[in-house]
Amino acid sequence: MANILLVDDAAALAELFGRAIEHELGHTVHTVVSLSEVAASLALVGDLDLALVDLSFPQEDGTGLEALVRIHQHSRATKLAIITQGDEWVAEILRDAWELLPITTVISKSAPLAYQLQAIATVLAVGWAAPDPAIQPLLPTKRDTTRTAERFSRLVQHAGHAKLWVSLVAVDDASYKAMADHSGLKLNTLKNYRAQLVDELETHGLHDPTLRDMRRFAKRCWPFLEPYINAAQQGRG
Amino acid sequence: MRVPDRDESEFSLDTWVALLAGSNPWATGEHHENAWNRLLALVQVFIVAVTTSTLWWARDTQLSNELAIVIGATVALVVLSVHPVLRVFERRTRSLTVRTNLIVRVVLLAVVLLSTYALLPGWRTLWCTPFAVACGIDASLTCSELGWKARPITWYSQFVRSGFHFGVIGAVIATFAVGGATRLSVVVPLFAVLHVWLATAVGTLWALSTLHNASIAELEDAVAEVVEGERRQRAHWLHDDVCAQVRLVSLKLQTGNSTTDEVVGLLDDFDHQLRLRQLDELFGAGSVRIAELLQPYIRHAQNNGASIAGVPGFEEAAVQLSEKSARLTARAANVLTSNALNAGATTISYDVRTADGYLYLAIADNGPGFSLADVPHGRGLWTLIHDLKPGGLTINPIPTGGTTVVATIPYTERERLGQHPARR
Repeated sequence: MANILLVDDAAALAELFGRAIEHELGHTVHTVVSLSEVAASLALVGDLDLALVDLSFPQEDGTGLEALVRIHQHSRATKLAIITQGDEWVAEILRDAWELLPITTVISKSAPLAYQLQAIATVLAVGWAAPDPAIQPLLPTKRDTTRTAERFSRLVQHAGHAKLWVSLVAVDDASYKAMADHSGLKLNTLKNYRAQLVDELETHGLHDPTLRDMRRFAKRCWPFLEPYINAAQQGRG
Repeated sequence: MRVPDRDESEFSLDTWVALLAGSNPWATGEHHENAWNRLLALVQVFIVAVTTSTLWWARDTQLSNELAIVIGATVALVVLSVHPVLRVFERRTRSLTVRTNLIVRVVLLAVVLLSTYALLPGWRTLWCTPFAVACGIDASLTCSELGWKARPITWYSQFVRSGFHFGVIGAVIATFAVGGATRLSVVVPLFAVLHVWLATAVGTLWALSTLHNASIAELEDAVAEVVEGERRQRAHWLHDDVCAQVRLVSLKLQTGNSTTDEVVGLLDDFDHQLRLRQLDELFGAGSVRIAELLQPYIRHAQNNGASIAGVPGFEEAAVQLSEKSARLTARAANVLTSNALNAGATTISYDVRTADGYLYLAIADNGPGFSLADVPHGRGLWTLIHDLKPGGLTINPIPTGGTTVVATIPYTERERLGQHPARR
């Protein structure tokens, strides 16, 4: 009997889906309906065999990536799977998760229940299952081996870069002036920091990005940037 | 993280660096060359031409080396006008570093100002006051690129109260004390012209900032109005369509006329309708990738019991279609999927290729197949055949059983916002 964590903000749906897994497959399912509860639940539920995580949490300031990273950091033995609508809104988040984390399968929320349960059973049995066909076109055929979670360290080489990213996600208007006012850095310093990061951002699919592009990327990939930002800030202190 | 002591209106050394370096190094693609910016750049070019002409025709010909000075000033003015000229023609130079731009522009400005004073000494320097308007425009474009709400009046008053300005006044008084009235007749016009130029540049920046802020406010009002209208429309749609469908399911359950399977089928249909509505919104947004376009139909086939044998790969599915191509492709996917399901297919596969301005959508199934000649008039398939170009729909039998139908659709890839070729 496997221990499964289901993270989905659609509470009623998660509850029913959890019961279906318990009833049909005989596993134990712990349901979490908020990103903020994930850390606490990890301490309570013991060793997890599988985490099923939704990507979209419109009522919260974050995405399923945050939960996936936290669960992965908590235990590398826990298999990670995504359950999502897989629409345009989450397409980039889905791609980030697929490329940066060892995702074992992607289940469509709209797929027939039997199909969803089969995917879970296959992952628990053999460690991997083909993603849902409706979602497969959103996933790169081959994972880019040069793009890794560890490589985000190159985007935060020192405390100055940390300030750039923090100010970029904090300001309403992605402009040098707003960022300078927020971070206390000089305009020219910010300009130089951005120039230092442009080549590395190519790895993440950003070609000579605008500040707005960089902000969208930072907000999306914050769970991967945050550890290096914290480390850089602490190093400075 | 916010630095509390920093006064955003303060005119610091950082501000001088930003304004003297000009707009070019701050360009990161957010602000495209709109008609207003191009017009301002054209005015700048015109003013530079007028300034150059003034220097040539009104110069003090008694001055030694006057020809070398006027040529030097002309070269400096021409180099300074390169960026505005490119802006007029919507061409961007490669974004240089702030330091390079700063050094080059400060040297060029110094050459222009010193040459002007040498060629048109005394109060005649005022003849080149229009150049200060060009400087004000330049500052305005830089502020716009930086996302900076300019406060020129505050900056000017800070300058007047600054130690630098008092130092200049001290130097004028010292000149009078040391050199007497003769020296003063040289220094006073210089000091006055400095203020006239600064006031002109500040006035230009103030006028342009006021206009810019007013147009932004107007634009924000217009956007807010559109957003409000959209929200009301969606609220109406949610009430009208969703409630009606939910009511239908509810009534079916209450009257006991439906089996569980029928209710599940109704809800699946409802789910499909919602996805089509979502797709329609994406069409409206002008950005649809093939992956998102095919999704509702793949799911529909899946929910109707068909097994999905193949789907397009990431690269093929990442192609973004223009609204017209996308709508036709969606219709083809809809008609061909329904056709396969109605014919009793249990396995369906989807494939997409793009080549030579055409998109080839291939849907293969293990159904009995059909002939184009037998398609009944007025049905979805018949309309699709007639909306595609002649030969736009081909049927290829699969030797092992089943059929592949290929729809050939003229396609144009959608341009990404802000990626107009002329602006790259």
